Amino acid sequence: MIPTAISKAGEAMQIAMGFFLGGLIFFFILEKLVIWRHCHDADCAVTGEAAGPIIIIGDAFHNFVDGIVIAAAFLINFTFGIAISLSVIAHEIPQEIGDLAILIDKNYSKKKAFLYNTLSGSATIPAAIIGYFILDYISLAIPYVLAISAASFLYIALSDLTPELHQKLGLKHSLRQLILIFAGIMTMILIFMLKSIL
Amino acid sequence: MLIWIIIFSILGSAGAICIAAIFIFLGDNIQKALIPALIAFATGILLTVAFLGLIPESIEEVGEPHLIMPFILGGILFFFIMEKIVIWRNCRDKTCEVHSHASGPIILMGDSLHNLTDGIVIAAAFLSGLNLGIVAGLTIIIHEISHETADFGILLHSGYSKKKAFIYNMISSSTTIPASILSFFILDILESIVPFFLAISAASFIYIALSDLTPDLHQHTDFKYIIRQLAIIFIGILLMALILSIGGHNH
Repeated sequence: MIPTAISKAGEAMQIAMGFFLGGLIFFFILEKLVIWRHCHDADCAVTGEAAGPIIIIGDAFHNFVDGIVIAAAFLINFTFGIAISLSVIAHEIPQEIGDLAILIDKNYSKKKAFLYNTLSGSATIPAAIIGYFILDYISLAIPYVLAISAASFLYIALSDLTPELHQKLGLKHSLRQLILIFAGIMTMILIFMLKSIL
Repeated sequence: MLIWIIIFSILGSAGAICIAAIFIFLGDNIQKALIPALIAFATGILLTVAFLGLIPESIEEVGEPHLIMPFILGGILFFFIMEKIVIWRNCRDKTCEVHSHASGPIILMGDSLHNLTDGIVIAAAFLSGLNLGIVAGLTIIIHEISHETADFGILLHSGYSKKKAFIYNMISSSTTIPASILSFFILDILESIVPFFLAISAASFIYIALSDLTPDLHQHTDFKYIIRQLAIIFIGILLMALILSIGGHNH
């Protein structure tokens, strides 16, 4: 996303980087406000305070951002859109499992938890459609939206997921983890390369 | 230029340790007040220097973002693996899970490797411009102060005397100085690889700020604390953005 944002922004690279930094701080503050915390354990310290509604609102907001990211990526080109969407899907699966676990832990019934989670998760769809029409109209904004999207990916990967990856220490576990990380990297690189083949 | 590099290397290693030693000497109360502020400040400046300083500079020097980004990605992975091997773990709690395994020698070895990287970063940044060098150097000093204070805590905790902890820490972190001098000469000759070193430097700054320091910053949730933390982060960002903009584009 970052190279595309920079190429599209052209001379305004510094501005795109500014948006990127701003995006990181924005997500930091969001997480700070406990609006949105992806704890994959149901019993971590922060979610101990986070009530069901906060999880649901946070999830809706997060998925709204996902929708805009998907729209911006597809407006760049088709393969780019596919790659970005796959990243969104791959991240949403563990995240929603975590959310479901928290809701069930908060005494929601399984059915209710599923229903509420589906409702909050569906924010992606209107966001993607609205994002498509707005960004199609003001295409100048696309590089900056991409910069903010990249910031959200980086923030999630590094400050949310990485500390979790460092919790288990065994050699076998570490090796498996590294192999999976490399598989993720190679998958995405392959998809990006398809663009030049097709 | 070499003089600047040596000055900042000394400040970033021996200087940071002396300040850290003063913190240890002043006791727990001062540490509890100062270290969180320092970590917040370091987070702000690390990210700013990476995104508004190192990355734009490296892309401008190469002229093609697609060549630079793989090095940032690779750098982040490299630092992930380094942390994984528990060679190097900047934990600010003396009691965190990893440290029960990490003994003194591992901390010291990790520290010298980390400071070796610092030296390379300082040299690469100064070779790309005085301004970039100064901001990168300042960032390393600030980060090292909080990092070395933590290392001290761990060494004392694992039974080292204060004097021994100080000397060992001094020796292990002095790697910054030969690393920066050596990198200066190598990078001065092989000028074309400087942008890639800047990219890897940016990766180390981003990795430290986001996956090492940010989880720390999220540990306290009371409102006053959060506001103060955010204010310090913003001061860091503005300060570095200001220094970077003074230099402007000197190409």
